[in-house]
Amino acid sequence: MFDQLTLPEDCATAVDRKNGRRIAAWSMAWALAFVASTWLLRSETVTNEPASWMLAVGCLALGAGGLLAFRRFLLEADELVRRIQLEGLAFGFGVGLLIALSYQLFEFVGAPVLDVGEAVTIMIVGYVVGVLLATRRYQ
Amino acid sequence: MKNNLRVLRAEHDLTQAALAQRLGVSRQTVNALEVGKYDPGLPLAFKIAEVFSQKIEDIFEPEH
Repeated sequence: MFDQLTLPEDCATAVDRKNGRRIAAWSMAWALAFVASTWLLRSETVTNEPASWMLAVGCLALGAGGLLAFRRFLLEADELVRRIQLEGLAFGFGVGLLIALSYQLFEFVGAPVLDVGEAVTIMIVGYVVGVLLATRRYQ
Repeated sequence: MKNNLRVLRAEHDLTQAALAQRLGVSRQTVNALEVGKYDPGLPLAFKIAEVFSQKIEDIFEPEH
């Protein structure tokens, strides 16, 4: 399903779609692990220090797997897909960085404090918007 | 860059999808090349030249 939504047949090769499914699998695994770990640690269901560390490290490892899967996707991608993805990443990074840094000024004048998770969310939304804009430009 | 990719494709009776498959790229890439919205990298330019048995400079022309 992920590859149909994000990499339609017209816009990607079979290799791109296979790598897209790989990214989706790693992302799903990381997301589930992150939610479970967060709940287990916040609710103090797991308090034992080695176990707590294992949860955190395990989550990080799954995230690293997703990152490597995305790197492989970029290296093996159709060259136009690679350009679109890189433009999306650049836009997302720029928007995320700009807003996260500038927002501090708004916090001084009373805006709610921005959590790091929210800053990352802004970056991800920026990336998605960047990819959509780049895709449209090359159509 | 200007190119005569669409003409060459028609002469060889290939659809965009068929050409994309031969080049190992997506149909979107072939379309973007044909409408001049995207210029290929060197490896892809050589592949295109090989598919149509032409020189790169006979297919692609810089816009002045």
